[in-house]
Amino acid sequence: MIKAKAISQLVIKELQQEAKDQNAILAILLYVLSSAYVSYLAFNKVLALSTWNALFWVIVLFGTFNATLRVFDKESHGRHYFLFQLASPLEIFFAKASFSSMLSTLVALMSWLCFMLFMGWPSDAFKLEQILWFLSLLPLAGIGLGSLLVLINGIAFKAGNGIGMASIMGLPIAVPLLLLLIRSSQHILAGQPSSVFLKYFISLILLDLIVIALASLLFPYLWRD
Amino acid sequence: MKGALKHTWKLLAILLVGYACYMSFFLPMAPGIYQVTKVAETDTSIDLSLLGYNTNLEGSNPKVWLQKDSLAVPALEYFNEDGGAVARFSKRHLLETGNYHLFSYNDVDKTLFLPTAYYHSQLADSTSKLAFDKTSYLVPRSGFEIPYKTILYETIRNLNFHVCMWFVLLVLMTYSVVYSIKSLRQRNAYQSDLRAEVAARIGLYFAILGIASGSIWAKYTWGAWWVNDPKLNGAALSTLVYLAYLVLRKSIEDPEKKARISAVYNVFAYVLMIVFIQILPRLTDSLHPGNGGNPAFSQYDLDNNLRAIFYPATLGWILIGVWIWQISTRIREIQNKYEQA
Repeated sequence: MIKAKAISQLVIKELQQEAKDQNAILAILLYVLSSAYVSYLAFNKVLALSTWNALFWVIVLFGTFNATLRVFDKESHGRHYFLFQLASPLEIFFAKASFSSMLSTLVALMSWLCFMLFMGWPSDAFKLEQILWFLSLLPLAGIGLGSLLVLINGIAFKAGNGIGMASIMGLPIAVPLLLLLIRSSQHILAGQPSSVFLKYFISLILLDLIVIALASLLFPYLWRD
Repeated sequence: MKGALKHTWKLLAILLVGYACYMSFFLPMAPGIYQVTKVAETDTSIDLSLLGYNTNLEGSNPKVWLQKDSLAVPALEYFNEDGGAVARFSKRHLLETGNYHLFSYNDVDKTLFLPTAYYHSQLADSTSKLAFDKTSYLVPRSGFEIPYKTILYETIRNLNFHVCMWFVLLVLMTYSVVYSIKSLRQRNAYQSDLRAEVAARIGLYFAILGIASGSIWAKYTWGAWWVNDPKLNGAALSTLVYLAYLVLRKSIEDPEKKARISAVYNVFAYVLMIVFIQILPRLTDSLHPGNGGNPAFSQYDLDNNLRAIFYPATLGWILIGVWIWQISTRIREIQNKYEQA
């Protein structure tokens, strides 16, 4: 039923729309840059590891919420009926989820670059191994948050996009993901060996899978009218 | 007759909750020693004063001894001063340094026990072991009473209310999600949707009761109204999720759409909450008993007397929760019918 080609074409459509309307990407970059800079100014000193870590993930969390807020906006004014005829709900879900996962990963990556620029790596363990572990955490965060937010934004879109709907629904249920991310990144940043944080890492992958499976199961119900 | 049977469980609910409330409020608490302090010391002896709760330390045939591993040292003298009961021990008999547990026996209180009651730092200059047969003084209390626990004291009675609220919440959350799934699978899902919503709403009330009773308990035993603990975070987030669920429902006009969309959110949130409450805490420590290396209530805290109140209380409160849900659903159905007419 699900065609990989349909999904990839839909993703390309999203990317093209995004490229045409460049200020969306620019807005995200600016959001991340200014939040990182504001927190740099607010703290005005070298951050302790746990503060760096908490601040980073909070900014990533809000950044992804902002970035994916408009995932379904392109489908407003009845355009979703058009999409509805072209592709099955699952194809649409996977396309939207990959697109918003990409966006979220981009947000996480940009936040990391900004943090490195303003505040630096928070500990002495600035080794290639730790950096690679940390960088592999970012797509996991992007995929988890991206897929979660597609469903949440879908619900908010269908409910008429009331003010803050996506945030009040999404924040509490993003907490399991966020906590796992914070725990594993805390260990990575402190330079601990992978055996210490591997259980968090694996739980994170499993949780990502749960979120994707569940969201893809529920999305078709949401999409039908 | 059939009708009577149908309603028996409601009677059972009232009886169980009534029984649990009565027992929790009025059953006396077992005695216990809550503090042992060194009040006097000479070259040869130390005096330990015992403070007890509900105790009869001057009861007949008293015996007090300190114990470290297999070494049991009985008190030489045992007398009452104005401050309370005092036990005098000879330093010659305290052969080891370290923490000693204190045991006390009398015919009224039976055997009482305070772990790591006294720390002895002086090494004895003798090796004389006192012959002491403690087995005749190790008599457990019989009779039905609330068990005594240091730190918790009387607040242990809260167990029969606080913990039950969470069981009710879990049951109602499950009700809510089951009806949400049902409403996703039906064409005309109006009734299932109503049931799911009412279950979420009643569950929310129980969550608020659980948080309130837990907060008061936490202030007393852990010293703060709120602590960063996986169980508390789970409670707070479930409350937020159900509030968001109700707000979401308010924001949609069309009943059919409302049923479908809120059901999707309910199922999604429920699974993630179960992950959060049941799986994540096992990766970390918790202040609550039963998780993360902390001893479970059931290991030694929850004794048979308490169980005989706690289990009926849980069942009773769950039945009460389901009953409230049933009545509330019925009221809403009648209201809707009335409005349509």
